Amino acid sequence: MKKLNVSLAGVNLKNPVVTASGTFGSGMEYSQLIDLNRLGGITVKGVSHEPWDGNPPHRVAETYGGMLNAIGLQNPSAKAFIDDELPFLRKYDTKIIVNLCGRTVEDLVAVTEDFSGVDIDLYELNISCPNVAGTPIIGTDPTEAKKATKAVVARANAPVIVKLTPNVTNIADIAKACEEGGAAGISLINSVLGMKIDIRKKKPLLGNIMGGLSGPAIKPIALRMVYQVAKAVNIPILGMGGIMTGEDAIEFIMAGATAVAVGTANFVNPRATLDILEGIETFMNEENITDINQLRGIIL
Amino acid sequence: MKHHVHAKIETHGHTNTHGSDIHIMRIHAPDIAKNARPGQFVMVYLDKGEHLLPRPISLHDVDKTKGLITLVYIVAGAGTKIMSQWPAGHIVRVLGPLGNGFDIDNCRAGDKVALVGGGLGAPPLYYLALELKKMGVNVDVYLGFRKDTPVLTGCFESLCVNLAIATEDGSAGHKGYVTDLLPHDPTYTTILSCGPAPMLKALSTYANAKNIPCQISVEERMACGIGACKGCVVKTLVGYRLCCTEGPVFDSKEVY
Repeated sequence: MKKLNVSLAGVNLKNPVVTASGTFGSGMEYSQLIDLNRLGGITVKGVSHEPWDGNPPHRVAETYGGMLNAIGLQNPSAKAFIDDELPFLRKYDTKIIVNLCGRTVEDLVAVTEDFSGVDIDLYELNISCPNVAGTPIIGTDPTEAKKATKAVVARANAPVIVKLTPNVTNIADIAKACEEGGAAGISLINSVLGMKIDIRKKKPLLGNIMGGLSGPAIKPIALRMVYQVAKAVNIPILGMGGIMTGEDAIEFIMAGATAVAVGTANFVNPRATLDILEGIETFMNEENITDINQLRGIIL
Repeated sequence: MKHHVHAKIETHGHTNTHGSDIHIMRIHAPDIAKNARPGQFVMVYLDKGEHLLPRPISLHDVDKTKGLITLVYIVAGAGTKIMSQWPAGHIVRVLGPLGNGFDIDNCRAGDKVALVGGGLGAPPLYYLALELKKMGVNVDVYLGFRKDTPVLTGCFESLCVNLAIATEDGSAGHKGYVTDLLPHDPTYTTILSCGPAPMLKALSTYANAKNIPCQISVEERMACGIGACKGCVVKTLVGYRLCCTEGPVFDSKEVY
């Protein structure tokens, strides 16, 4: 019998495959297409204290081996999420990871407090959205990152992992600052800042001009950063960035990730998470691995 | 209820019209066909390495008995180029039916309804016209193109509806815009439309002036097609709305 369950920041996941924030709505959208009970966890679309409208269209564009998005964290507010979406998600036997957003530390504190008295398994503190003014500043400065982490951890009723942006000079420094701030884990990477021009219209294709690049095009960058962070911190890592197959997931685990998040792949194939999970199991069978935890960080 | 299926292409034909490569692809997808409504769309997955995102294509025709859906598309970029090379017999992944579709529940036998289509907005009106005819609704169809496009107008001719055509270059029907063809004193109970934004805007102005309810089908770049990514918003008078799940059909008064 293979052992697939992992402990991410003290939360026991039945397997290491979770969804990446912003690519899976609040789970409801995919529930007619796949069995959500089979997922290790669901990271919901980022929520903020107040409702956010998001950015003007176009918000998405395909690029070679990837896609750009500039959604701008459109969401109906934490309160609306708790009232309208969370009850549905609770019907499933999977861990609920809530992605918290805010433009300032005060915003992040406010949204964390919106969840007081609400039962959530794990928080993912988003200090890394490339499409929202404010968050890149928190996510690219170790002092600010530590301050935000500390403030949220002090008020959160569940462990907090911090989601980092790759758009920095030294990701390990940011990760260490978050660890010092009390983070129970690190989640990385968010999307890589990019852009695309519509040469016929002679203007940027995205309404927000710049957007976040995701998908297999960024996988080598993501893997490198997971490796760098794994060497720098002692807290668990949720690795993500272009994971499309079980083999991709195994690479992230070998680089030090405890669990992996699947994002853009959900758009390419609504059952990508389950295909990836099955791909991990196939690899374990082929290599006679009995416990997924045996693979974690083996190249470090 | 939406379904993610592997489906066989039954037939796949194409016609070159004035440099536009128009394809008609019929797919055997009974699960999608059985509860499809006019104005809904499907996501067609390319399953081709570097091209990640599925392409949203509206339903041109649905045969619930045979379990067939028909898609009409134009080769406009890399994705549709890949699709155009699939032969009959090829298995494709399709997700659908998606979106709200046209609301025709309030239409009654004897009602007079105008369908207004522009360019590739014409094909989805075919299934809509079929369903309305079945309900005993009197249908007038107005179609506009840049140039004469018989491949997109032919199917309407056999429907026994009043059909009026406009082309910008005058190669067929009226020379000018499709909205020029609309009557000054209309007796329509509803206008249903699909086409490019400028046409939809002009039509909305007309419908407002004549006080006729008008539904318009819009388009926007999509990633997931099911409301998860919030990528396909359309700017409306009440804020951003998702094209994929809150649309693609909107009340024209919400948008313009």
